[in-house]
Amino acid sequence: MTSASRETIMASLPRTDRARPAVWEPDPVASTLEHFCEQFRALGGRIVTMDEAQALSGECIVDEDAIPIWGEPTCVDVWEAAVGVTLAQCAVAETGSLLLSASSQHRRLGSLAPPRHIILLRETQIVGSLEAGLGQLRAETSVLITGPSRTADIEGVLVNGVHGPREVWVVLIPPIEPEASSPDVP
Amino acid sequence: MSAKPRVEAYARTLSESTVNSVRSASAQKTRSRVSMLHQVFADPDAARTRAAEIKGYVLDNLGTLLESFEREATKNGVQFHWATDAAEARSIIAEIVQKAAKPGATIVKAKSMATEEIHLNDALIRLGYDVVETDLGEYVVQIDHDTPSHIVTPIIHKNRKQIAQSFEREGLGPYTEVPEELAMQARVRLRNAFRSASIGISGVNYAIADTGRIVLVENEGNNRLSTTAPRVHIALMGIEKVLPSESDLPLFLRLLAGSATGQHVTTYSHFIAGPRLPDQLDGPEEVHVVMLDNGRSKAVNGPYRDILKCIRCGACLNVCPVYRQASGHAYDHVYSGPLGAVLAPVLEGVDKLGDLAKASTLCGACEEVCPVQIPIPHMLLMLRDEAFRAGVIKEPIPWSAYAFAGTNPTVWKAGLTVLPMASVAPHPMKWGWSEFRENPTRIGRNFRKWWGSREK
Repeated sequence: MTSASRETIMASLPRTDRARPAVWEPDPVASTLEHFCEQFRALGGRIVTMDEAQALSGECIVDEDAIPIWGEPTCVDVWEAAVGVTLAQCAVAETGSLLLSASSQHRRLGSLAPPRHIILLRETQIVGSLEAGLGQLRAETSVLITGPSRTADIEGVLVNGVHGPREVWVVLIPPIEPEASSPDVP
Repeated sequence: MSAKPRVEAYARTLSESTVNSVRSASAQKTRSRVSMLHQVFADPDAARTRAAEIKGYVLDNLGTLLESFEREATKNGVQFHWATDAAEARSIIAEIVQKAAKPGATIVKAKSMATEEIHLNDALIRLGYDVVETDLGEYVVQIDHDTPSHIVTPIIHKNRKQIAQSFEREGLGPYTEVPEELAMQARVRLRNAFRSASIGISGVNYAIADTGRIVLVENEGNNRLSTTAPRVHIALMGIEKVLPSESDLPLFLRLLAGSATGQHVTTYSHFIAGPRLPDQLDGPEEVHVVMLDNGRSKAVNGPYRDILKCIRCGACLNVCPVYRQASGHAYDHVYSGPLGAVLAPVLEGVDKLGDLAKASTLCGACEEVCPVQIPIPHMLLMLRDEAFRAGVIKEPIPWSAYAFAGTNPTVWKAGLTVLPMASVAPHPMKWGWSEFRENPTRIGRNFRKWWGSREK
């Protein structure tokens, strides 16, 4: 029955040979750390140091690939965790967004169910435009996160944290400096 | 049909507070839309033009693009179903649901106009399922047994007092009018639903032909929770929602968020490839896409084809003087405002809803704000003509008389002699006009006489 419906619908749909319109070229955006931070903060996001983040965090659930940087999780139930810690694939300066993908090392719910989401971001992973960011989409299910969960359904008043995290923090991971010449080294 | 067209008749019944709620929220969204689009794009009009071209290309190639989307998504493990009309879509979804869970099970719903269009909730509730709307606005609509009055902000017609009363009635917590506290009460209630639900149902914002991904955008997180936590995810999608390529997404994500809520992009853009893979830690085990025709394949080949370009941003509702005064419920259909005045009769039939085409001043604001440049006023005129010919809308007698006189110079001149006093003559403009306004007083001179006698 369903496949008969498919044939009926498909038979009536238009097809042409014409070339598709050009893909939209974005206006140039600076892919700088400053620009990202400015946009991210404007959304209500906080940029914190690793020490601050660790000091203020309760029960946390940590994605596999964030463990080497953050440490071991202190919680196993994603619904009970106070904090979800993830490692961003990249950040988009234009919109202050962070891209995460689902994989064997990433839970889909870790960035969503706990009331606070802490994202570890390598400073080298900041791109300029949304085009550049989505260009990094992997084949897996992914999500672009732009600020805390929010609603304006009640009289247009902005409320954060209605279903997803109320707080979104970024911890910047500086690039590994090439070993500086140290006086101790002969 | 009643003596007054339905939108006008309904508008007269609205309380001042409802009109004020709708008007102030619409005006606010219109302002933030303008400022955000100019912040995001150096040339917003160029972006709108390109988006309209891409959507035009999609409609011209709907067959090919849907085939490609289906092929790619199937590779990712998505199961496809095709529904020619609302009844078939309901029965397909009912079948998936019944296979996945016993009656009594919880189904969490993300906000979706397509599911409203096919009246899905009632059908599933009749089968014994516990269907929970999880978008804050839609949740309020559900507990109040109301219907959404706006495609983006469903409770634009309610104020915080009304919401507070509903939450108190439902036992969500102590009475409060603080939006933040109300939102937290809903969070607690709905979180249990997410954790226990076996099935999540959503719509689709974009389906990507070249990768087979479905894209959902939202701000609250309920959509992601509904499509991630339950074991089965069902997505209902109008067949026009496809985009050629993933590279088209950034343009549409910016235009939709900017036009709908004055954001640069929405909080969450969820790019769903398919069900959980064996090595993945969470996500649904089954993903079903139900393709909904329900009048669209007919529309794409007809004169109102361009209305299928719509990306459901609601900007035309927010800017429309008729919508602002009448609210969405006046249109008697899930799709309201200028978009609804065209789409509702196109999907349901001009014989049923053709009178909606009268719910416009033809001021053109809707076309001006449309992110995909749909010529709504032109389509409203075509619909009016069609509805008039079909006898669905009738011209008030004074207008017919006026039309007759105005196209017969002799009658016109005779009329001017017989009815020299414009202010007492049955000029058809008078009734609707003078109900709320003073008529200008006639100063008592005759233009034709003056024109004939003036000094050359």
